[in-house]
Amino acid sequence: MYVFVHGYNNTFDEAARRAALIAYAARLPGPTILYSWPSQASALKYTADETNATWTQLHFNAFLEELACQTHAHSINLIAHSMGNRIVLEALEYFAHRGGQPRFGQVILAAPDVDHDTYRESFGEIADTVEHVTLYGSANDQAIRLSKGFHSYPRAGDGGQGIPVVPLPDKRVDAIDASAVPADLMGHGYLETKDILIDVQEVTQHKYPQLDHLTPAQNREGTYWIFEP
Amino acid sequence: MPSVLRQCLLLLIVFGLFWDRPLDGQQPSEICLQPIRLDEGSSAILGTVFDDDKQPVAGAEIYGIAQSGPESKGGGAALTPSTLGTTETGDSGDFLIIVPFTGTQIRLRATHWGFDAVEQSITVGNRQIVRVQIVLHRRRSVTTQGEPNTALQTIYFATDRMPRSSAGPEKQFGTERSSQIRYGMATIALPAPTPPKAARFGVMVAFMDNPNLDTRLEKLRESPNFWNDVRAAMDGLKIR
Repeated sequence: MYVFVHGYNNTFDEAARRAALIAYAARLPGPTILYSWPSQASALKYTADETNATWTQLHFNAFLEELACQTHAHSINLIAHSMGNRIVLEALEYFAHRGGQPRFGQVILAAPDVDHDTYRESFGEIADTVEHVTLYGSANDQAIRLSKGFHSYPRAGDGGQGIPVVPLPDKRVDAIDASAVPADLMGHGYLETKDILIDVQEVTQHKYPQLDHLTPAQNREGTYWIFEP
Repeated sequence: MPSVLRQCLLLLIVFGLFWDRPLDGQQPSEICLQPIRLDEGSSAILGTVFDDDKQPVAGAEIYGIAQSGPESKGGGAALTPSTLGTTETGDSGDFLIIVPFTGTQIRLRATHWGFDAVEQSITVGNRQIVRVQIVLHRRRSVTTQGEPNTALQTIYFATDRMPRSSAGPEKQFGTERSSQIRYGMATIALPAPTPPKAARFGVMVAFMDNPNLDTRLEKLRESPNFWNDVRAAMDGLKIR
């Protein structure tokens, strides 16, 4: 079972189509559930979307709680894109504080529009709640660049040497640099490309990492993987 | 009996034991000789997946779901319905599932890109190999906006967007906040199904900029039975 949380500037319709595409092309096992929050679906309403991403948090937490309760799932898998990563990471922290229930299996964070340091430091709280985290970042993501300029600090969705690495001895936290993946004009939609969806499929089937398309690299925080399409 | 005749008879018997008789698509049957060594208290399902044209389907996903009842090898507690495991068919459409217990009903669910999922129930005995053939039927294509070959994908949704009355499903939820979470299901038409390894994803790069060109929200409905629907889908019991 996978829960997908969309990002900024999405209508319900767009978010549903993205969720379906990911479910279909990555062949996600089990049902896929879209969690759609009231993004204003306008490129000019970034701060309104930030406000609503915070506003929806209680609802998202309640939804996950209900999901775990109703389905008795051993663990819940999460996929987030862009600003949706804030909602997912906040929820993971919330449940970590609550005593670690429900558990989370695969957590896939694509193009996270999240503060770089906040992301890394969140693992102090959430490490025991999640099984495997896969982060995709890109140096060619113009939306992340804009966000970085807007917030004055690096973002977790950066790629190249700027990708956030969280070395944990007993936990899988993979950082994948997707800068080389051909994507849309903004370079922000690489989650929906063939290369990344096949990679996501491998993550969900626990085949990860497929070393033939990943090359290890080092930055000052640790080892990350360069995706070579 | 002349020795040549005896040898021929022996060959016939051996051939008969190994003869892999054509099977009815829905009726599993046994193989007399077991090429796989099975431990006491275990069994196996050996199968082949074909398409409508009787061609083997490589890369199909097979889920084995054990129904309640049996005891494990060690005489442990009865199993509740659970997924035995998943596997993928090889190039010849074959798959093998080793079952670590016997005497229970196994529900097999086969799925593949561009095909409707199918299910088949099988009971396996001690150290028995059951051979099955599964026929996957290509997903019925729908015609949307002149696109002749489109797959349908169902997703579930939870949203705190305010609903609004409008004609089309794409406008059903707007950008206003709602204090209530609403649940339901949506069906989305996607571009032509092709095997993932040969997928024409060049198209995807194009529709990321304008998803309206290639995908379409076909149906949307709130569901009072949302949790039941999700549970059923989790158990692999509902064909999507």
